[in-house]
Amino acid sequence: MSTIKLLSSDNAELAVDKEVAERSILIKNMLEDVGGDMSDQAIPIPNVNEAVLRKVIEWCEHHKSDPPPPADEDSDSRKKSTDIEEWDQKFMQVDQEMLFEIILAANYLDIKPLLDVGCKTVANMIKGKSPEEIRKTFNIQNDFTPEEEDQIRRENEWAEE
Amino acid sequence: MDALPPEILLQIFKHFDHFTVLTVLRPVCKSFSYACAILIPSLKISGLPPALWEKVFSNIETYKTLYRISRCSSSFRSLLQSTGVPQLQATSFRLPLPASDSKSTAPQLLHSSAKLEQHPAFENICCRIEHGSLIYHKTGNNCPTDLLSFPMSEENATNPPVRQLLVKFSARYGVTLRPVLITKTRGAGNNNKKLGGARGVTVGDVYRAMKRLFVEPLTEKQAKALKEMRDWEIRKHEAVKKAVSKIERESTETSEATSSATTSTSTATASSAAETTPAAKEEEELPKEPIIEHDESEIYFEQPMVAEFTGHPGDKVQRQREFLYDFPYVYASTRIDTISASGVQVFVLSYH
Repeated sequence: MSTIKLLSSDNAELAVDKEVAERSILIKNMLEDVGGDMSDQAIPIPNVNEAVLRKVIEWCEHHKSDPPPPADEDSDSRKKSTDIEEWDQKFMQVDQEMLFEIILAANYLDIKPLLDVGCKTVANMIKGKSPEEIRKTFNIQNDFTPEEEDQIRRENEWAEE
Repeated sequence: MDALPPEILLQIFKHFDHFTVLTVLRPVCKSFSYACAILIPSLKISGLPPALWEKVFSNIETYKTLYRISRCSSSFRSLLQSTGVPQLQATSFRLPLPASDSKSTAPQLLHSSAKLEQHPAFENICCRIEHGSLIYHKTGNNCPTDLLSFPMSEENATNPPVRQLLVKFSARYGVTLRPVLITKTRGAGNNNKKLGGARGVTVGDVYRAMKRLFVEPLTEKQAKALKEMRDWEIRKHEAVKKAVSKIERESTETSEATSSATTSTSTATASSAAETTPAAKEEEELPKEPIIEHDESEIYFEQPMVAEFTGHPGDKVQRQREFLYDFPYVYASTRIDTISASGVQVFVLSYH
């Protein structure tokens, strides 16, 4: 099995199986463009640092045998955010900064299943929380004026009744 | 405007939420993009770019959770109101009508096999028949008078959206009112850019149709039916009264006869005759229930009403709600029922 090297934004070189790295559509396309031979040169991943890249590789290694995701996933029935595999749930038990970094990296590297798991994890963190709790969880600034808040509350009073 | 220096643009952009800055203003031109990057260097909202927040929120399955998210910040509110992600639009009852059937007036579902879901407002808000006012179902408190100008009333009544919907009063008690047919036509009047295109039948349409259903003037046929029903009830009431007084009179006569009777056998015979004869007579005397010919022709929502919408003191116009005079203090709420023979989705009002 051939190995390729990835170069993180903080200049760390990580060796990874080609099959594992190809979970990323970005890397897969890149390898196809250069004829598949990148054994002597590291592929730069400028948007992802070493710690995050290691986490992403760990996920790709665990899921290397998974079937490819369906191409037309947006048209499927409503996604359930509770159905995250146990291993993935544990994998996503990281601090919020790392969780967002993984999501950003998955988006950049075009690893759709990892992006989905990350988004589902964040969605699960939102469920059942009040607006104030959501703000606190994600450090969101409440930028509504008191008048705007009143109006929004009034407009949605029916949902709280 | 793009010739304005960045510091001026920056001051202007400060009046917008971050979602609008990143998704609407930033792509306009280079100078806008530059000013946006100064205002929000990370180009993110609370750690993630807008597109990824949309992806996160598309995993949320309930309307209520989305509403809570929209209360967190103006960016999230803006995002949820203007999103083009179908899953998010579906959960928030904001899916546009499919473009393919723009000329057809037949009801269309996005996915023919999909189950139609009704807007959660219909579980919480009902209509008080005698006033046509909207109230909260659980508490009985009045809704704000401007409820139908709130964003909720612009949302689809159903998910997926429908082009035609019949608001019909339950005929459970033999009362039929002319139903109101709501038809949304694609055109200038139904192309809400803020909500992302042409809407199906909205929550506001249904509540306006409900109110209209009760205050629509009676047709000649309905007025005749109502008169026949009332006449019959008066006649029935009189017949019952007559029968009861007859029984009382006869029982008095019987008791007098009993006291004067000498043998117990003759008393029993007289008593049994007194018991059976009035009952048989009562049946004979009760007027037969008239066969009412109801007018169930549809009221077209788009057409103006013959009489003014709201009544006023001394209003002599007979309204459809007069059919419901036996139970005027009840509330009507809706549920999606069936698809009618003509293929129109039917909303049935039931009262409680």
